[in-house]
Amino acid sequence: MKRLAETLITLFLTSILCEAQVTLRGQVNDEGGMPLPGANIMLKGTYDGATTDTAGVFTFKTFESGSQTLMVSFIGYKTWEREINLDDSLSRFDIVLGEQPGEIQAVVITAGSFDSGDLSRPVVLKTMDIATTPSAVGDIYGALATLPGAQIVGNEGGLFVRGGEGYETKTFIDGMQVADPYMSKLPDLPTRSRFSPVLFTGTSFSTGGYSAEYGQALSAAVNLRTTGLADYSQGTISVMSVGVSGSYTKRWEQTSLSGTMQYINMKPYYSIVRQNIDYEKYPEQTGGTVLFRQKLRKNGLLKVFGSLDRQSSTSSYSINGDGAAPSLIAQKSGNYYLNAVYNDQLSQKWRVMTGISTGINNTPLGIDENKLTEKVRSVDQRLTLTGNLSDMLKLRLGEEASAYSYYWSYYAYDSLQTYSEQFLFPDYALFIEPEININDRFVARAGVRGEYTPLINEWQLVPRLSVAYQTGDYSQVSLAYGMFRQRPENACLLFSHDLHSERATHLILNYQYELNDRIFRAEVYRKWYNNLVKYESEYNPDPSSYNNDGDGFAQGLELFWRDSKTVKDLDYWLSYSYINTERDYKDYQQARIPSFISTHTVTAVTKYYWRKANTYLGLTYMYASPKRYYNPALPYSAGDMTKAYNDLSLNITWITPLLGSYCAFLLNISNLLGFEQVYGYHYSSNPDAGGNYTLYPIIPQSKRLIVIGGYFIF
Amino acid sequence: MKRLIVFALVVMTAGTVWGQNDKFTNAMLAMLQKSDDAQTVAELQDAANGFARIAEAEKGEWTPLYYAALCNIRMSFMDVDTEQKEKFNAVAQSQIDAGMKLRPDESEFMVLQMLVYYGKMALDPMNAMNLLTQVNDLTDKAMSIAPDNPRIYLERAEAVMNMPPAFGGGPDAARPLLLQAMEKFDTFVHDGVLAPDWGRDRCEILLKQIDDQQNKE
Repeated sequence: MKRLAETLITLFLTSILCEAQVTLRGQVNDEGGMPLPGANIMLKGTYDGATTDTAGVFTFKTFESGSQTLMVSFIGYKTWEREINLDDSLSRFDIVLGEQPGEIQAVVITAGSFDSGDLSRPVVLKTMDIATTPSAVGDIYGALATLPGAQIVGNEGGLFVRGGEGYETKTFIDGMQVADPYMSKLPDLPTRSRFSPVLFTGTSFSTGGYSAEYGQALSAAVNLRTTGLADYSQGTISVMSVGVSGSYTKRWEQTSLSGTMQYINMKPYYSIVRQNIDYEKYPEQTGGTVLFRQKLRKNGLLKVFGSLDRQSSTSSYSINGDGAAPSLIAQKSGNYYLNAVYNDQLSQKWRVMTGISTGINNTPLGIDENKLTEKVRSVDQRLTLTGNLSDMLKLRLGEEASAYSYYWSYYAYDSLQTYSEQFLFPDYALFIEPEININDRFVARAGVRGEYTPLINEWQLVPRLSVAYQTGDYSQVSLAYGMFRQRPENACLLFSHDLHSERATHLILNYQYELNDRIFRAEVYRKWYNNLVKYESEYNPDPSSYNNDGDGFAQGLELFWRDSKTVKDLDYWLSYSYINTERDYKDYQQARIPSFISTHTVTAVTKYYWRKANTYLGLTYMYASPKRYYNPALPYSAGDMTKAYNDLSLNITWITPLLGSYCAFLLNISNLLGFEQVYGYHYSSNPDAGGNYTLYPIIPQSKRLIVIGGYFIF
Repeated sequence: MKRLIVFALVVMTAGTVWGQNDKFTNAMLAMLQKSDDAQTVAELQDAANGFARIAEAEKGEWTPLYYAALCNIRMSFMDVDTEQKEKFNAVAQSQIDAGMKLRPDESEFMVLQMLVYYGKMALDPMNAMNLLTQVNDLTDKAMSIAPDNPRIYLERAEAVMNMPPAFGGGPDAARPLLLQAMEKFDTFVHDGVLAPDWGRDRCEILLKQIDDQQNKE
């Protein structure tokens, strides 16, 4: 009996002191077979667990028993769980973690696209980069023009991408069309973005091969993403040598509302700094934007963006640069844009995006006593579904319905006649684009877009294909192919509906290497153009003078290098573009190299943060090889060359405390070294006594643009 | 005989009950030792994960979240690439958010939030200006809630030290703030064995640094 008691006691004591221990061991890898060090393995509800080592291996002991849940978590990956029984004998665990949907993928299709923004990868340009690129002076397109693929066309502005005209680049805000993203354009003066870069948290700039979700763009697509729910309330006031602006953002629990207002008047600046243009009324612009964001349901976000601006100016301009009495050009324009987009998670697998945008643009232009009026109305509606069907398969499909209305009238004073024309261009599209992800090293996206445009009675079905393969830990290769369509330009559709869409086919190959804040890209491409619109002369009212017999090609090589690590506080990028292109379109008599093309373009952008002085210094150097200009009297000539374009621009921003908050002062000087720029030449419309046509150079409005300003945050 | 069995039962039950009371504290103390000794990213990651496991198991406790976030913040200030820093900051932020939900007016979490903001500002000087007003507002709020928390003064002083003199910063401006922090460290009453208690050593090191530099000049 005593012995039994002793045995019982020993057993009891043993069970307190030495409970059964179980050892768990295993390996954690990603879907590509690469080990994941630092992952957290645990028995759910207990403290027991371990961290994986550099080989992804873990081992730990536990006193728990019976049914438990083994859980693995690691940032960027989906949490892994499995029911196990600690009383069974357990073998080594081979655990594979899947990437978190919606987070960055291991391999992203990069051919033909630059994605920037605070959350995306590969990050090429951050939002503030666009605002602080010295040559751009706060113009989104000016900043994008420092990337490879974009031509520098100083007298036009906008984006001329890989041999394409400015109108071949389309702008979207949150995926919705924007018919007039540029400010009203005056002849020979560059235009710029209507929208300030600070409204957007990210920019996608696609120089070709983009998704089947986008259409009506032959060359490039720029998608600007507005900021999401603001993190906090804030206000800003800025005073510049050219005008004033202010903004205020207010944040509530689930809502944020931002408003901006600006007033620009060039009179003070133009009076002091000599310009090459005579103004009777100095340019003036008043505008404002509103951005409303509301969280709805559990994961939904509604964004409403509205903008309005009015501009006016009156200047003297010699049409054809003739030296004959110049005309008085009076410009007055109003633009209104509204965009509402809703994003939500419909179910575990499906996301929905739906939106509507509408715009009105009125540009009455007085040319002496004549009057040219253009009115644009556009509306765009979209519904896109994105499904994460499995770890390997993602599907995007959607519809888009839009309408574009263009009204044009010309009142000729000497004949008291008004000529007017207009058209309405509806457009219906459907697209479907599956994306297959094989082991995170290979991704392929194949899409098809169908579009019906009743005005020109055209049905189209176009393919888009892109693939990306990860060749090493930090490098990848990407290929894109696609067919793109775009309706003929407004000036052509006005007079003839018997035209087809212009066509472009892209083939792009891209190599990218990215490690530790350094990125290298090389890209080669070939574009085939067909069905380009040709006519005898612009604004010819005879419809038979328009046809789609034009064509062209563009091919080239682009290199890009960005480094923000080698030198502390220094961030710089270099880009080089080579292009070989010819096209036969508009009133060309034969295929030739267009006047907006430079064969070689080099851009270097540097930004340095001088800590001691809390100052940012930025310097941009741009070089574009000579452009061609053609004598209209010699339609078959190979053209003559302008001189090369050189520009060095400087930006200094100094930050200092003020009145309990902070203030930034900035100085921006473009063309610091005062290079004489010539963008091209006009020929006089009439020959002189000797039968020669005089050449008039197209030069910038002023040698330098100097902007001084202060920016206060409260 | 009966007494022996009863005695054994009492020892056994008392043993288990005694173990449970201290299980959380023991685990936390062990992990705190680990994080104090940690020198490398891998070691800190191990400690961070340990705290995260305890946090997962004890959803009502705020200290595991606090120390997990602190480990992640410490890792973000080490020599790793930008992507890693952003990841550590993101994890720390989610842990701070969860902690603030448990204790909305905990000044220690506000100190951690200040550190995350400073980390973000160092990563992205361009956007740093936008965060400056936020950080100052948060520091003021923390000081009004817990005027005796020395860590608020320490981190404020450290930020001031890194600001350029023209900006109202630099070692001279930081010195009085550090002295103030030292006073607070000396008088601070510890709220339990698991409450945050770090920073005094750092404060001393910084003061010594400033004094050495001034002696050189």
